[in-house]
Amino acid sequence: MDSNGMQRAQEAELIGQAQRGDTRSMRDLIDAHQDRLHAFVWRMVRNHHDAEELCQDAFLKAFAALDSFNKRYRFSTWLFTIAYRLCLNQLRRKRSLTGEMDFSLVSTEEEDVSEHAAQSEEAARLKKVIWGAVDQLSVPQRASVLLFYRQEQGCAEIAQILQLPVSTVKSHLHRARARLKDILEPAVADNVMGFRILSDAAG
Amino acid sequence: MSGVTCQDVRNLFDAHLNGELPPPLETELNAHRLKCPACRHELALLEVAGEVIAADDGAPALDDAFGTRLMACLAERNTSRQVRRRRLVRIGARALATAACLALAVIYFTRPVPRVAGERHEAARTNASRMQTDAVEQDTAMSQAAFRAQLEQALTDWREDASSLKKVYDFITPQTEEMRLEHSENVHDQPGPFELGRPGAPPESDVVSTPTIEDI
Repeated sequence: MDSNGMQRAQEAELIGQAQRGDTRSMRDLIDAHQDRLHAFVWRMVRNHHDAEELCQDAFLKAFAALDSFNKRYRFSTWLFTIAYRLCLNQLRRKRSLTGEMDFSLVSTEEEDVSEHAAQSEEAARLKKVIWGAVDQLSVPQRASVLLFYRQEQGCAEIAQILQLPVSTVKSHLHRARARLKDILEPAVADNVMGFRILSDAAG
Repeated sequence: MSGVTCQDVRNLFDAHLNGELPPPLETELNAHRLKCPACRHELALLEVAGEVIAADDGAPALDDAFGTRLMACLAERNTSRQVRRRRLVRIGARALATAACLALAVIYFTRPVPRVAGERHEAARTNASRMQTDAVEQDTAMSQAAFRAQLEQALTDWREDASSLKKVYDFITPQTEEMRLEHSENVHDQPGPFELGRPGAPPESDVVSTPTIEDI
């Protein structure tokens, strides 16, 4: 079950049943959000084992505090808020242990080669460059870009998840795009239209 | 919106990428980028980056057993929470009962209980003593009153006697003075009654002498 297809009313019903201890409803909520949550968390911490553990912690905390959940918000918003805080804590812990993060090592830890779509060398290089640029963004900038483009959240929802003002979120997006442009420009200066055609094919 | 500069259009890029640009400005932006290669290039870079990110991030798939493991953790946590809750309820009940017993005991043993026999006896004795004192005071008051009455009566009698005596005195004083004057004219050369051997003194034979030891 994909949360995109889950209506607010359906989600509210599942949450109500889960609050009463219905395990089936809890499982449905987990199935609806686990993949998206894992993708976000993995891109934030760039470690598969840590990402899985953080996802589990996020779900456990969300269900532990389900009685205090405000139904005015979407469950995904609340879940991602918890996950983001856990990611921040994890990154701070790692930074304190290892000093400045080496993004070049992190970005090559997991080769993101898709097996389903046939990709040319150019497309693969483009993806690598762009995702490498994303990994170099600051934590709030990276979170804003991931939530906007991957999770299709609006600026207001992103502001709720990151617990920041909307203007700050827009500022993060602006700076992230400027940074991406600065990194992309020398790499693709000679072949902009070609990359556009390839991204259409991959999408 | 004629005379739109490249900087004006670049200022619209974020709103356009966020999907927040109003239709009229969207049209202006599209019209400009069709004729401006630099703006077209820059916007294309931004759009491509966004599309690549949105398409696929290459994240590894989550373990199939993730959901099952998570449900097991939730079940275990719920069980331990129920056990903990029951234990807390039991401990709480015991603590409450103990506290209640202690409170009752404290209240019972510290209440102001009177010592019945001793205090009553003491109270009776005090009352009796008070009554006795009152009685004594009353008797004293009565005695004093009687004595005072008697004294006043005696005083009254004395005043009457004194008054009578004064009357007698007043009555006989002038007569006595006349008699003295009359006597002094007749017997002026005789010694006075108390002058023995002097002129006016009675003869020694009329004077009775006090017997002495030698006489006895």
